[in-house]
Amino acid sequence: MLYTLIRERILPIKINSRLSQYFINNSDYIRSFFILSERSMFIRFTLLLIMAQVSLTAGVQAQERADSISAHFVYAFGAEGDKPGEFRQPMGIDIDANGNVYVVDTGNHRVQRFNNKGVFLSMIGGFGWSREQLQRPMDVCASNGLDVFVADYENRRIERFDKDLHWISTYQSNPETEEKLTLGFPQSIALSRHGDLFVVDAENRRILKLNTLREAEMSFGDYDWGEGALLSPAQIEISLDDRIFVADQNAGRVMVYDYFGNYIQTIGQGVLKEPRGICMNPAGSLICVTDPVQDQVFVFTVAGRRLCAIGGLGSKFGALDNPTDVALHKNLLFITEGNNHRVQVFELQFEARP
Amino acid sequence: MMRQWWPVILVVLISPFLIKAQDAGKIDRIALFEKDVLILGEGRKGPYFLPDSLIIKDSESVYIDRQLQARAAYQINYIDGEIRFINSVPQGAKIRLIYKLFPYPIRKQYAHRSVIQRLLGSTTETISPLKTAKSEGEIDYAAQLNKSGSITRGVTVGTDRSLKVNSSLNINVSGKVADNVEVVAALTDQSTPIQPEGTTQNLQEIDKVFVQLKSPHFGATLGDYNLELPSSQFARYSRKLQGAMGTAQFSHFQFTASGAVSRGKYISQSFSGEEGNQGPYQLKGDRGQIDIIVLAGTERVYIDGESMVRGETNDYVIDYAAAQITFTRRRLITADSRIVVDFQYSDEKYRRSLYSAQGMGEMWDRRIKVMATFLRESDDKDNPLDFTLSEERLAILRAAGDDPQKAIVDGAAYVGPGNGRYVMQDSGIFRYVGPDSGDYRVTFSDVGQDLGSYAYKGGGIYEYVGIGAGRYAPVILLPTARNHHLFDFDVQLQPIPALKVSSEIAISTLDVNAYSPLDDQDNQGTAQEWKLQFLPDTLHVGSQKLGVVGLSARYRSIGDRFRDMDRTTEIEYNRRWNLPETTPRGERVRELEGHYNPFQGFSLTGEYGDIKKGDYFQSERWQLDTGLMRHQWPEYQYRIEHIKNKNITDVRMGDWWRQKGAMNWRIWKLKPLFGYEGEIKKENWSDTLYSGLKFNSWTGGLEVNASKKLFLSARYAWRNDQDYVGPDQFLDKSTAKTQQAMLRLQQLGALSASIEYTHRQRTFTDSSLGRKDTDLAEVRAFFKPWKNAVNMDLNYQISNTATAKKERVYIKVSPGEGNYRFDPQLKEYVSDPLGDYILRVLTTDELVPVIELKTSTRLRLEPAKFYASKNKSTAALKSWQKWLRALSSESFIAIEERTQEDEIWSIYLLNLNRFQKQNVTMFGTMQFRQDFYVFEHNRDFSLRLRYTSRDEMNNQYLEGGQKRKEREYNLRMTNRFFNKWSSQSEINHKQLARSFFGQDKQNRDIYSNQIRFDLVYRPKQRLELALESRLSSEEDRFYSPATKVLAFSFLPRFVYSFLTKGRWQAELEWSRVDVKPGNRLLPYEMANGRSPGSSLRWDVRFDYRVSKTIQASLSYGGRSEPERQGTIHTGRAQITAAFR
Repeated sequence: MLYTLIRERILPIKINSRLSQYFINNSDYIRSFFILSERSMFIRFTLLLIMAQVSLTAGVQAQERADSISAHFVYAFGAEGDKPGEFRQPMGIDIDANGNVYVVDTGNHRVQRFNNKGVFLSMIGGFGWSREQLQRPMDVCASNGLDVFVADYENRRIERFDKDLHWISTYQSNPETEEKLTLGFPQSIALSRHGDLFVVDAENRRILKLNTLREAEMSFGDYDWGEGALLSPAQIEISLDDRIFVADQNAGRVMVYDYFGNYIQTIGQGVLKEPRGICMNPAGSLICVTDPVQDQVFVFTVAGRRLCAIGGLGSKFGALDNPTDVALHKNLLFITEGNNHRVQVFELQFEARP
Repeated sequence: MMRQWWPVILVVLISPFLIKAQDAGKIDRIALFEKDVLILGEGRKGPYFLPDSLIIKDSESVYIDRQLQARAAYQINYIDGEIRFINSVPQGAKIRLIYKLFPYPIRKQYAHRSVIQRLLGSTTETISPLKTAKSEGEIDYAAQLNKSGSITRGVTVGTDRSLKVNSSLNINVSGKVADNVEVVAALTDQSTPIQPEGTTQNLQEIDKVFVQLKSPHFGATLGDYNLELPSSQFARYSRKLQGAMGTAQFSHFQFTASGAVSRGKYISQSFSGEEGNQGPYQLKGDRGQIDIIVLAGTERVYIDGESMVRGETNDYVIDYAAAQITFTRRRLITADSRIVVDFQYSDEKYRRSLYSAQGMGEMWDRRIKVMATFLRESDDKDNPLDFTLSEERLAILRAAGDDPQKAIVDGAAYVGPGNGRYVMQDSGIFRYVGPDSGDYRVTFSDVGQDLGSYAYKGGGIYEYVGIGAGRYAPVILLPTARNHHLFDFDVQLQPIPALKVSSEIAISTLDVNAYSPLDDQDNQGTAQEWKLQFLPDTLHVGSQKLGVVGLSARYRSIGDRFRDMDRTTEIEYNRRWNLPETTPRGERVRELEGHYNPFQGFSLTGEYGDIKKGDYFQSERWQLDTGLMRHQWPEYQYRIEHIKNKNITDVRMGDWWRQKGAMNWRIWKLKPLFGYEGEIKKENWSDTLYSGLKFNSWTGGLEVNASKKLFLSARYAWRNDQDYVGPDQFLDKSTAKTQQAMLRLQQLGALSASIEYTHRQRTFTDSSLGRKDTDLAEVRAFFKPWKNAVNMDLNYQISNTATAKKERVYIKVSPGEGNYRFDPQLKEYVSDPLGDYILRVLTTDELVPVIELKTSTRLRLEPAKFYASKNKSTAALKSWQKWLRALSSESFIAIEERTQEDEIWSIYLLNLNRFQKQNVTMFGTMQFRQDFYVFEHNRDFSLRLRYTSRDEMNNQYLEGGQKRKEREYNLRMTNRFFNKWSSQSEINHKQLARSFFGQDKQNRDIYSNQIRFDLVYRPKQRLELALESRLSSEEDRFYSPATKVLAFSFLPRFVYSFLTKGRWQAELEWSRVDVKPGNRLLPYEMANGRSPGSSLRWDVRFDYRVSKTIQASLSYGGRSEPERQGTIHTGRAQITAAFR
């Protein structure tokens, strides 16, 4: 009876407790132990207290440990320069479902494609404002596996390429576009599962939504957005349940909106100083944020609880200097570093299911 | 008593250990899961044995001396734990492998049932029961698949348009679908919006489907993919396809099959560069036509036999839609540059299907390798794509046989007076007379440069220029349908490790006109190749190693009628044998090659061979190569070759000597360089007719690796060219001097920079050719001092290129579906989101040589970053420092100039007075932007002062030139007060001047002042009420008296949100425009594009999330405007279902 009570009433409360899991996994042994001890009321009561205490203690410890994530450096690629495979101030990164890694090489005004081992495959761009040229590209989005969208900052346009980085089309505002829907300097870009593009407009400090016909449909996060107003939006990410996460750099927080731009919550306030890059795991349970001021990458749950911090100032492998963006592929975390001009890859070890 | 307590004590005692044990398990798991292994190189390729077997496939990262190795650089046996490298790993080099292992011990073999053991003499056997997997052990792969995507259906209806259905589908799937089977799939049917500049890829060329299934032994790709079959000599094949491909791969057998629709036609084009012209160079189709679209990514570009890499920061860029290639500043193009481009272009004449199959097998311990390849490309002759096949045309095609010149029909049709655009003159020449002014409707076709009699003048006008002087003719070319088959069989035998014998035989059939049975007797051809190789092996005399020796012999025979489908010869094959431009396809080649490496780093190679092309041509050549590449030794490479050829039919004798060498030696931080190249080519056509050349090119240089942060290099090359004019007589042709300098600084304090400059001067002896200068330069600099409070970057580029003349063509579409409309009063097409025209920009083949300058610089000042300190609070700052923190600014300048200006240094040195000159500038633009912020990152109050200017001159269009000048002063202030109120105010002064030359358009000189105020009230987070008002006063001073416009607008708006569910949005705009004098034409740049009078626009939109996966939106808009008749209503409904 006591066994049943503990198993059915107490242990389920301790979600993620390894002791609970241990209890369940080894139930045959523990059941016999309890049957033996059920003879005494005192023992039962004491056991209940102890188990509750142990369970609580283990729960807290296990929560820390189980919900935390450790990261191990795996490899790095890139160095300062302008040859294929080299970078100057890389500012953005994204990975498609096939494992191709797209890095925005901002200082060299180009986007480079690598395989997930860091081997260079192809590139597009180069300084300029003609077709296939870029001027301070800031972000790339390759999430749908067929298209690669690039935020071409100084040219005030969004460039669409195919997966092999051949130009397809350009989006930019017409002079006739109404003020609320005008695209200024695109800083970041994300594609939703509905096929809509969301663009961070750094000039007007807002998010612009382009529908599937690539018409500017609405904007949000502007000065008129009340609590949801953005101060200096840097990066955007959209979860599979249609929540929109925006790293608000100078406000030191990540803002969360629903798909219609309604403000929901804030993440990382007090922990983050100047969040910039942002990415999520496919399950949508974790959010990774780079903080160039602290030279670290923080991992949060979507509820906003900090799980771990990676890096620290330095140029050795494992340390970071001005981490600008982050992307997650399976359990590999790719981080671009603006000052070390490289991409570092860390493997995330999940202690328990988040 | 103690007995009763022991369980409690036991639990208390073991609890920490239980927790600890789990920690320990975690460490073990991690340690077991990943391995980091270091091995030292032994100066050989391998195998190198790893300490583990059963390594997880593709989990490895391999480094040699910290350099990550590409997957193609090594082979790894995951089961046995062995690695081999393609190239030898130097002695002592550090090979680092990081790989993953299974975290539990695994046997190499597992059996589903126990092994049946029948004991000798026993009559019974025990069969173990079938073990079924436990249900809790099964993996739910479907649940682990990453799926996303959506399907959208929408309708748009309006009073000015018919009902239009919008739909789109996007699907993305990735993950495992079964044990060891992984899928990656992406699919979309989304179309590409019309580009404002009228340039877009052909929609059919955009990849829309990609499905890939991978397992250890099988793979499949569906959708758009690249098929590469590189292994054989005669059946090499590389195509961009749309269809399906499957592969099977086992240890001794491999099979690939593909069935697809070919998206392009393969062609190889060779041409020489032009002195002082980096491009663009026009790529042409098989008939020399230029209106082709190159399939993206199919091009392979070579200069002087060296493969080029695409990219502005690499060797070349390519405009696929215009089929033009331009070389970057990194790759100097001269008249001596030999350029080869292999590519596929869109040839939408017939649907072309392709089937391919290739099987490879290995046997006798891999000593015998067999490969068979079948390829079939066939046009669907019953369904031509862009023309109709009448009985008359079919008869022409049947009678044409294999001669495409016979498959033509007359392009001129008499349509009666006033119905055509051309008239026929007595000589049979057609002359353009204007729309509805002639009596002939004429279709012209591109028949190739200098094969036609007409030239294109733009605007649909063709003009007679003389027979053989143009590229167009008044004919319609009927494309023939082709069928091409190729079968190839290749066998390799390696009885002993040092000896390899291989043979390849191929049969092809090509019917160039599937409609016609004529000329089919020459469709089939064969080719064969035999090879004998003594593979490189160490030569021993007793125990003494005398180095590595290798020998090979090759015999190749190709029949006259054999036709390959892709490149089957090396790049510059004609140069290798000194083949004339046109030779018969058939040939017989014999070659011998041997090499000897007496010690590591030193090599000697010799080649001898001859070629015979029937009774027409024969040539023989020999070549010697030697090189030394050894650490801390001087390095050199040298090659000498000699080709002697005889053209039997016209008794032409040729003799060609070629030499090329380079050497360098690293001494401390210096590396002197030296190079030489020379050729003597003599061709005697007769006793008095000679052709040939002689040149000597000397290069010297020095590289300085001063430190990790500083690198310098300088080179100087001198080349003298002579023409062969008689027996041992050469006449000076030209002298070229090339200087190159480079400087690289990497993070020298706050500065990083790179400077590259190339100057070439070629002086011709013939004074009419004069001197040709080429300048290429690139400068990049980054300067970020004082904790990034100052952030500056600079880009500067110069190049010698050519600019193509362009033509704007407006195509009529249904009302509301275009983005331009024609304004009959202004006589120009004006931008209109509800327009009935779309724009296409066509590039002509009229290329104008120019020098091109492109530069931009940006300077951002943020004092707040300088005063930001982790240990210093804001209170410690002085008041002026606090104020300084509130200020920031950004300046941006961009300049582009493509000009024929003679004073080139005034352009290079940015003497702006020489920029944008009407008679020499093809295109020029100058932009300047200055932003000044007060409290840039403050939500309660922020102020921005902006000044922008833009000057532009465009002479690129056939229709005429245009000059544009813009100036704008802007003040923007954003406030938030009382927590619920916020506002944005803008004051704007703008000047716009446009002047046109060579075309009948109205000039402008507009001055405008505008005030905009947006007041927002948000009583709750979910509700927004706002009112925006605008007042503007504008003058067009081009006229006297000036045209004056007074305009004002009110825009109330309302937004109501349902958190996570949706939102309502409604907006109304009322505006009034008054013009004085009232009869003036109003350019669309004035009054925000509105016409005089009152306008009303409204928009209502409702977005709602029906469920977690379904969203719906409804919108309705209307506009009542003076320039349109009646009120236009537009409604749109859309529903999107997302998958997950």
